[in-house]
Amino acid sequence: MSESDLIRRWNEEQPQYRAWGSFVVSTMQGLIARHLQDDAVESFLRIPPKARLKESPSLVDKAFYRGKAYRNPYDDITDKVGARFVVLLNEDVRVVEELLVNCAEWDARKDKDYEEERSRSPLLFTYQSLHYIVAARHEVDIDGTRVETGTPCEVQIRTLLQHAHSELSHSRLYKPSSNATPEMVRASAKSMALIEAADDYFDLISAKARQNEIPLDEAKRLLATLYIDQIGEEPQFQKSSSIILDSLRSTLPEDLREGITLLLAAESYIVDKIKSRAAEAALYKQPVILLLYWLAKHKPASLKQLWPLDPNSIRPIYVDLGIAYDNDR
Amino acid sequence: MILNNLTIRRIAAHEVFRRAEDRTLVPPRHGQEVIPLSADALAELSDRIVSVLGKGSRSMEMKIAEHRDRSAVSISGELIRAGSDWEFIEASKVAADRLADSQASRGIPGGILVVLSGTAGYPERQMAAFIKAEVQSGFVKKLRGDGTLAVEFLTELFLTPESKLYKIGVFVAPATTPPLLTPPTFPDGWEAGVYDVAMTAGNRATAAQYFYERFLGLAFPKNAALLTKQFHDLTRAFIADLGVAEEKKSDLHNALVTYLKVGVNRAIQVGEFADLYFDDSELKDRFSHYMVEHDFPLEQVVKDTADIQKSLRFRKVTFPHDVKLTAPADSFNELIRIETIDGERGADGQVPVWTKIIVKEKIQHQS
Repeated sequence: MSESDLIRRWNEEQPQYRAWGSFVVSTMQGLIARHLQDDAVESFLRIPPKARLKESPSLVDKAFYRGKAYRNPYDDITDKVGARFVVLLNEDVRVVEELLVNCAEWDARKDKDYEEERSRSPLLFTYQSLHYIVAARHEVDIDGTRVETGTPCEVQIRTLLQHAHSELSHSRLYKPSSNATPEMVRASAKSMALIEAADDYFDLISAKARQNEIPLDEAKRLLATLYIDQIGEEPQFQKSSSIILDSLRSTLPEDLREGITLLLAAESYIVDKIKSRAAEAALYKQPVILLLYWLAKHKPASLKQLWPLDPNSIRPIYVDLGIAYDNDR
Repeated sequence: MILNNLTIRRIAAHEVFRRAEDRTLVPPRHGQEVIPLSADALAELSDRIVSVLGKGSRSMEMKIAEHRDRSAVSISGELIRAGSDWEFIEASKVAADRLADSQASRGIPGGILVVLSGTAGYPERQMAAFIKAEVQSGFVKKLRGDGTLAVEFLTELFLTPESKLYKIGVFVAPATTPPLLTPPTFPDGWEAGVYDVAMTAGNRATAAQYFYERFLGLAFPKNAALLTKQFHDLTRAFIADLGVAEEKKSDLHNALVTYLKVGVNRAIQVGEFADLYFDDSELKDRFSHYMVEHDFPLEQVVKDTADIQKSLRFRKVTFPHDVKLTAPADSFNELIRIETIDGERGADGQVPVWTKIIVKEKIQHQS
């Protein structure tokens, strides 16, 4: 195939590749959003993933002038359209990878071409980055454009730090070359090691933060169950509950369930108070109200001190329990 | 006092007046109707009552000394038993008359007497309360129709959150229903409590007696000395078992002595001691719990140090091997400094905990 043939074919087929690339991006965004169960997609993907088409000159260059013996340059070059998914943590990379590999719309394989280039230019490609080629499993029509079976799209998945490192090493500062001096190799290796260590630390922080939340999450679940059992109504969940629970974290008793159950059995008028106030005050619709009654009874000074919101919202709880809120000293 | 699950059912109000210049009684102006209050107003009233009479408040449990006809506790029985609003009002008028009677000196101001009945506790017990509120003036903000702010001066506000201006007496009937009103068992099982800032302040305020003694027919419980001793012993034990540094314990023991011996207040209270000397709210809660577990009331208790004079005179610090230090309790702090220090490393490589004691005096005598 000659250069001009290559260019012509590319111009003809660009719409297909563009359509396929956009399809891959939007499908992945949908899968990620469903996985995250809310709209945090924008902050999950740190850089908006747009499908990029390879420029013709660059395609020609890669096909004929890079010293690679492509048997079938046009078909063998698999990154004619590509998309990049940049995330925060290593664990997020794995999430995206799972979603990508398991999607029914395409076949996903690791990019062999990329692996090869990597071994030839160690300085540029010393980072771990996932490169997949996803090929259309069957013919699809995307917005009026017919995309053939097997149309490939390159998908890169990296962490933000890996991306920074990659941008740096591919910048004009470096010439792609396998003639690296030992100092250059060492410097590059050091920077990559640092990046990997930072990524590992971020993973650790994330895991520990989640661990920290476990007692609160358990408390939330427990309180919700108790609310349904004891009050017999569907509770509401508001952000203020998280703020409240967080502030009162240190006061949570060992056996929350038993404590609250005993209290409500001994002073069951509390249930009626909660039901009647729920109509007007959102606080009483939230499961955390049960904890507040328990605390007002057993740890009144701590609740008063740690309460993060307006004190007037907890005064009625003390009054119900016959406990003086102010002491007028 | 047990005031959880407080529900107010009926309210009446009367105005009582200061004695005339010649010390004759000015008859009260009686209200003639039960006062309907909105749910918000009732909630506010409950808040006021529980804030000054609830657990941990500055109220005091009292003994019922007067229980004959027309005594406050007897009137409470009538108020509770009142089948109709009219009966309630009539009984409440008797209370107003009694209050006017008891305000025998010109020095006692007039005010509004609010009489209410309802229930408290779980299971519910009948209760009645008498609130004497002084009338004050104040400013009230109002929004005009056009949204601008107007200010009105009102001369007849009462029962504002300024709680120094009201006194409350509460009577709670025994748990059995109907409440026993007939002798010889009356008023067994009845509980009474009073909130009156004047009663327990450091300065002697005989004016307060008219309210708790002449009007409500109550007296201080006789067990003040016993309760004071209990407070002392329990608090000492609590401090001794605390997991804090010895210096901190020493400070707290000094604090206890100060509170009982030196303090000008005529009453002691668990919550007050905790607020004064424990910084950490978790510790305050633990102390309250500890006292409740040992059956010590959270309300104010009259201070009577008769039975603890000896314990308050000297403080003692003991060490193993019969080493002892004693000093007068009220000068302990000035004369002695105690510090925990690291001792000399022993043969086994461990660093022991030692105590450094500095006595700010010369040795007077050794033997």
